[in-house]
Amino acid sequence: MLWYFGRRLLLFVPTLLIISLVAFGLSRLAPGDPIQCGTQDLLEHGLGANSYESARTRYREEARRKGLDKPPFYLAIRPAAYPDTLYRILERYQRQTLRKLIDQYGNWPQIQAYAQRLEDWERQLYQLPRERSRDAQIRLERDLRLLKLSYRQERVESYFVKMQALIEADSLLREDLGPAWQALREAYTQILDEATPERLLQPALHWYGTDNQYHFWLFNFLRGDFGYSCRNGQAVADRLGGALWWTLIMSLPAILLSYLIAVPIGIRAATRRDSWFDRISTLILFLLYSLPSFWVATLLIVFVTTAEYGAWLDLFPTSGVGELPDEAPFWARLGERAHHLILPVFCMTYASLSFISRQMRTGVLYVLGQDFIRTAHAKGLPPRRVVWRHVFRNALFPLITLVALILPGVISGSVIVELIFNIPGMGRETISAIQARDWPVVYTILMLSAILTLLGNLLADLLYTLADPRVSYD
Amino acid sequence: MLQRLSPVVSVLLLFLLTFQLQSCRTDSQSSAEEVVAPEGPVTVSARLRGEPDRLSPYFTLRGFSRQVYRLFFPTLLDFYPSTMKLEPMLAKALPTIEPIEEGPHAGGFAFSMEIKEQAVWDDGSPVLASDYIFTLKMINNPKIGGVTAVYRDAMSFIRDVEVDPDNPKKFTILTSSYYIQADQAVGVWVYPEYAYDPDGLLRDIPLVDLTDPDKAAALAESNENLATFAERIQDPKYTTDKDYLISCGAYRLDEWEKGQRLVLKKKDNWWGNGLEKDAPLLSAYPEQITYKIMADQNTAVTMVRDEGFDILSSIPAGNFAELQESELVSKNFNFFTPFTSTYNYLGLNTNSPKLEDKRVRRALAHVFDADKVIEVVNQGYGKKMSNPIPDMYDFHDSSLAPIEFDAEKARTLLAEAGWEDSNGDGTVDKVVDGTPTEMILKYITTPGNTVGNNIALIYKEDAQKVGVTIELVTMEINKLMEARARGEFEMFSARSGLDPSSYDPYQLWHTASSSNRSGFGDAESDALIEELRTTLDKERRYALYKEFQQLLREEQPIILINLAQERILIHKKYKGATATVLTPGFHPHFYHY
Repeated sequence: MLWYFGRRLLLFVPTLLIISLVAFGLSRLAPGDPIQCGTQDLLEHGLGANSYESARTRYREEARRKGLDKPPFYLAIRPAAYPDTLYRILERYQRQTLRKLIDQYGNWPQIQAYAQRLEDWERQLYQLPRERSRDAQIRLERDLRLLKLSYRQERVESYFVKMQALIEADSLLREDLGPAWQALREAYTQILDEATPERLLQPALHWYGTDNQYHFWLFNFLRGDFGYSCRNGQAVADRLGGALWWTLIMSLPAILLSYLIAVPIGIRAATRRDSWFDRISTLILFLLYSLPSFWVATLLIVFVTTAEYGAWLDLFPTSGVGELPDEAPFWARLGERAHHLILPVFCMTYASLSFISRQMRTGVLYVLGQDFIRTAHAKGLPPRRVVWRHVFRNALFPLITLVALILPGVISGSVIVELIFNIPGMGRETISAIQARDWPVVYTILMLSAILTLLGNLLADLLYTLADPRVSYD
Repeated sequence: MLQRLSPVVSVLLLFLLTFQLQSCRTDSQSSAEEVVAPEGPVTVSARLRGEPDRLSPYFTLRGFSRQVYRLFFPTLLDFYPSTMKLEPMLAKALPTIEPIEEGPHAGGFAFSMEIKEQAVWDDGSPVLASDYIFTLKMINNPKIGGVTAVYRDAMSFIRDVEVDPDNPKKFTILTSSYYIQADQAVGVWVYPEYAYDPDGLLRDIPLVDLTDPDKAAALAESNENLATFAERIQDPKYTTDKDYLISCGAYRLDEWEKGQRLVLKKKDNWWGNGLEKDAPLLSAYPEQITYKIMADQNTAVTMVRDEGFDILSSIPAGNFAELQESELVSKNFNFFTPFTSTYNYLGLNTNSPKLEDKRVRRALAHVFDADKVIEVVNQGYGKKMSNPIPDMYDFHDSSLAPIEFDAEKARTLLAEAGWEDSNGDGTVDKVVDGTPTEMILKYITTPGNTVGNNIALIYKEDAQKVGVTIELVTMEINKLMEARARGEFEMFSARSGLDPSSYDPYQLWHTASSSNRSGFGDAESDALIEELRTTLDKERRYALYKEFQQLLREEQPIILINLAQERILIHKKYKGATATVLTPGFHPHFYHY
């Protein structure tokens, strides 16, 4: 069995690696710009020294500071049409535009030349003397901004037509910008004329080495350094530590209560199958199961936390975890916390009662039909002893399977309950991290959940052997 | 969709953003019933809708942070909530402004100020001009990125600071230029040098070298102190830890329980005590101000029934009506509904071939029924506007009336612009650049923007009556930002605000600004904006404001929805506490029993 568990532990490594790769890959595909996490739009420009160039410098600096100027991974397998240096174009929209051009035409050298011509022409346009036709210049600048982000031929050409007309209409502009404009148009024509879409079908491998984003993140993670939240620079471990504490405080009592209530109900319902107890408990538990927790939580808050509907209904605090300072006596703080957590724990508990009790009921019913139970009864053992000594132990398997699923849930928290009751737990932290594209926090939560899922499964395997010695992994 | 707050505006206005303007009018609907004030020190609790990221002014632009840090980081100058006038806070008086005639900064302006003699830091040492210089050096340190870099760009008009040799609290700020909000922009937060740079890493670096981008870039390479300082100051403890958030304000951060609350306590023997008569901004009556972090709206509304807050703002219209009907709440709270300076609008992409013609844009404005939207979507809160400068401003052009709903006129204008339903499909069409084009307008929005989406649905129905089809495209916020940057839209809903005493239209309307999403403007409008924002003469400036408003009306780059109206509850136990004209609508440090 040790060998079995050793193998399972070894399997953790590739599983976790795959999970980390999936998480990393998804974060790359998610909309939004991780470089701008925790800041305003760094590419905004327009006033004072806040020119486009200074905005870009600022943006590049931020990317470098966050390590997002490195290649994302050790290698890239993609169509040969793609260059190995595309990651160096940090501005997301610009990179996406180039990517879309490559996807259409497959000829990076021509696309690169076009992008270069655009930059050159932009520089010339912004350096024009003020006395040139200002109106035309303004329109050209505006169209150029949009042209730079255009990739569909129809759209690109519509900007070309508009801009050409503006340049043609002004002899000075024609003189200043004409040659570079011509070169730009030719560069675009070359993209169309020399398209190599077949290169999109040829795979190519680019090797970037270990100086990449994933490598740094993974190795830091393995060293226990989960990185820093991009929202406020706080260490992820510190940020999650507090949230985990509150989630555990809610989850553990909720799980314990769920089992303490649901297991006896399930057993009793099974041993008295089709009795009034069975029917009524089933009805009530299914009714509870069908009530969404956000609705129940809101109702509870509205009706039993204020004196609005009668002073006697002001039974619980509305939200939060209490306000007593750390210096307050332990029992006073414990009492205050418990008072605040009764409603959230109830909301986390009631919905799972039905599931657990039904699992228990089914398991017990199955075991009750077994020969050895009949034998036990025939031997004259008291019914209570038969149930708790023989039936219960053999009916534990579904519950053990549930334990494996519960373990990651213990740390992931309940988003809705935490939000409504204002509990600063992991669920709320996860949602806010995802919304803010705070990937270091998201990765850590994901990896910890993955590790706990794997450990949960391992624990379940172990518990199976304890529940039933006939289970063997040898 | 709430338009992303531009960093440029944020920075240029600096503390103005602390107080985005609300209407001069506060509309109390309280009952006259008296509530007995509690015994003991004054305490206030208010709701924060989200967790602040940092609590240091130059390191965050987040609104939740701003509400809090302004209570312990005072500015040199600030706006007095009820008058909306700029007044001295840490400074002794408003700056004197004079043009610089000669020397290296000739052509610029000199702003002279003096810090109050009583002003001291927490260690008892005086707040000096050198602290102001240190603050500017910090902002201009090229090794500091993120939000601070945004401030750096926006404050680039400051070149140097000269300290009076006879008075270390007196100094002159030398700038390269002037613009209408420059006096506010120089009157910003001051950081204590002793606490943030105890080793004097920046002391020997001249400010004038850091304000010169080329010299600063060279220094960044040659002077290690800049990098060392940057690394230190960007440590989260300097922006989140109560022991490191040192300033000279009335309050100190006493507790920050993540996700729960921030507790500010008044400092013992604060230097500003007793000065509030001459400097009302220094009023700090409550001994404790607690901000309770509460994301869920329904829970917040329930909490206020139980007096869980003393102040609750930004209450949805439906909840506000419920609370007004509650005896429990009416007994304890005053209700306020002040107008704000924030307006909602539909942005039009004037670069789109379908919307290039201003007659089309005007036609679209004529089929927008603002009255219906205010009544149905906003439950009567808000009011119609004639132009983006609300009528509370002296420079509002009252000769302009709101554009009325007039479908017939819209039809005529569309026809004049060549848009007619030639194929009888119910949508007007026209040949644009040789291509038959239907007037189908892409209205981009986000799934969570319930108000914006409801407005769109009403508008879609009305627009269809004149043959304009609105195609509502819901997308994730980042996708929406991308679509706007690429110009792949015709319409979007957004929100914008004005500042207390002046309005700089550059950000939203100048062609060089990346925030000008509607594509409005030409050389003439740019010249008008540039002149407006640099004109010192009030009369001339006001004339330019009116010209600008006329131009906006003429060009119709946006369709105005309404002027927003706040909904605030304030506990009756406070004397004279009222919803103020400045965002967030309440200023707890003025409250007392």
